[in-house]
Amino acid sequence: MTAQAATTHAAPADAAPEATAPPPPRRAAAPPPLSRRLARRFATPLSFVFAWAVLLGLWELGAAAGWFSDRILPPPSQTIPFLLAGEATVGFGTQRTGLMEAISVTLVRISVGLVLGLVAAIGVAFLILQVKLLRALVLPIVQSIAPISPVAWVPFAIAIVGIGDPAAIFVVFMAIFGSMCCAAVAAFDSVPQEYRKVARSLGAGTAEMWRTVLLPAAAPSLMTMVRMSFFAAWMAVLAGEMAGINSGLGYLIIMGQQMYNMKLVMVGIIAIGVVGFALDRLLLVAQRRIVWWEDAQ
Amino acid sequence: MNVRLTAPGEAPAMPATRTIATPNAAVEFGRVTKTFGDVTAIEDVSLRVPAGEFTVLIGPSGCGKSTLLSLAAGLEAPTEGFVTAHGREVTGPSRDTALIFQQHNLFPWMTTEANVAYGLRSRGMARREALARARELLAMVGLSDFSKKPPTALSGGMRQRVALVRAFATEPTLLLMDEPFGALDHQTRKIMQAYLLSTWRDSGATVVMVTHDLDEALMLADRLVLFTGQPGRIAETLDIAAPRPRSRDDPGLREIGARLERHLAAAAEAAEFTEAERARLASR
Ligand SMILES: Nc1ncnc2c1ncn2[C@@H]1O[C@H](COP(=O)(O)OP(=O)(O)OP(=O)(O)O)[C@@H](O)[C@H]1O
Ligand SMILES: [Mg+2]
Repeated sequence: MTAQAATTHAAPADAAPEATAPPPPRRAAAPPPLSRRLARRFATPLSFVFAWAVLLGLWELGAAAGWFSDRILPPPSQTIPFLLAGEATVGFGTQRTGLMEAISVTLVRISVGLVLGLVAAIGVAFLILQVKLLRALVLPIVQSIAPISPVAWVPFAIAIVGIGDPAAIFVVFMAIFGSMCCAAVAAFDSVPQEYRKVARSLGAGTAEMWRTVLLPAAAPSLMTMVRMSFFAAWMAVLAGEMAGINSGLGYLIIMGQQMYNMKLVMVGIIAIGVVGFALDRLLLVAQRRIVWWEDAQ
Repeated sequence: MNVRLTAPGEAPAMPATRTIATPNAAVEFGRVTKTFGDVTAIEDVSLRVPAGEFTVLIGPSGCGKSTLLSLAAGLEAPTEGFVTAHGREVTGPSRDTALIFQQHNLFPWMTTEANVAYGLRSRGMARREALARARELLAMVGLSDFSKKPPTALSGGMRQRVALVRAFATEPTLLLMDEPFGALDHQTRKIMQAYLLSTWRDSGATVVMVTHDLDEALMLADRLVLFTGQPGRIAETLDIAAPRPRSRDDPGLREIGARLERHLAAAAEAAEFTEAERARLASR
């Protein structure tokens, strides 16, 4: 093994002596060749489509061959027409709601909860950083709230604000506020001391320091935190909708279970996957835009 | 016949024994002690930094040089004693004081010109005006092409140049530099030293610089302040009157250099320059 490694290493070293070795990569170096850029651009979507095609093909095959019940795991050939026919609905008469409505209801809850949570987390983190006493008084409480499962807040939420959007938003908020606030405090704490010293010596006051130094310096961590929180919010809202908030995507899935309509459950799962994935990509794009000076992954 | 010029206990007497050309002290430390918890960073340090002079602080690691700069910058308050700048007690960061560190600390989320304009904006200059002034200053150091680029697109030497320009943009009367060129290669460092010297001479500012590079200290300083640690105390101060540009081969400078080296190597408690040697060096 060692000998093999040594010989394989020796060959390229001979082929490319040091004098012709490429210069060390620099950030501002010329872009890589077009072929490599294209490969990188399409590698992920292509392999993505391919992986799913294989899985769905096997699934179809398995259902046709009778390896598993198509009543429990309805294959794509049943689920897709069901979805396209617009039959993925719950309720009857005026109560009847479709998939799109369920998705939009759930999305609004997530967005509102996420924005409120983010604003509150940064606001509280700001106070904790500005006022020493609050670090001692508030941070321990925030830290103890963070690990509580969001579903645990559902009874509370329903008791306080009733079934529906406010309860769902409350659950999302509770799911992410604690961890976001802790992460924000950590992000602001770890802004290099020298940045603050430089800004202060250049004449920045408190407000300007926050706007031009602390927020931008913490922005990469904050954006990563938002993306993580988005997943937490997504999980929380679905759990909440399953646990008593009777509308939205989570409710659609629970109704599918109760009506023993696995196609409905499957459509709900697909919607969760597709929408969740799309939104995470969107957040990633936003992250790259907002913290353009960092390499986001 | 070694004479201890400044015994730690009699530190306040030190300024009185010197004749200072410029009567105005840009910065003065009066019997300053600074402790962090149970660590005494500096103890009973008295030092006058004459206005317009280039003062270099050297001493072993951890002897409180950076602490001294933070005190002068108003970022820390002394535990005992006083710190004044231009005759007024330092109570917080001053607009007339600029700080430069070993790391350039340019803000990566701003373009190079916005970095340079930062201090001007903080002083209430309009955005467009500040950016135009920043471009002007960048042009003076040959960085016009980089004004719209982020600092990450610059080389290490360019970044440090921008950091200097940013510090000078607000026309500070006091420039505090903490190992500013420590991270640069030899050649770039020499260029930066020349740039600093010319900028300093044009500006008339007072410079207090910390360095671990003896050669740099000898090439730049009007005045050297040697520290011992720990806690940090002034072992000795000496003037270098050799005109600039200085040669590294100047026998006088080489002699001081050799002695400094010994001082640092041993982190000696006491100074080893005799009165006669001091007089000779100062008159050079
Ligand atoms: N903010 C701080 N909190 C606690 N201790 C500190 C702080 N700043 C400095 N010290 C301590 O004070 C002493 C002097 O530190 P300082 O950074 O001033 O030394 P220095 O002379 O600049 O060293 P170096 O040459 O390595 O940069 C050290 O023992 C250091 O640990
Ligand atoms: Mg230091």
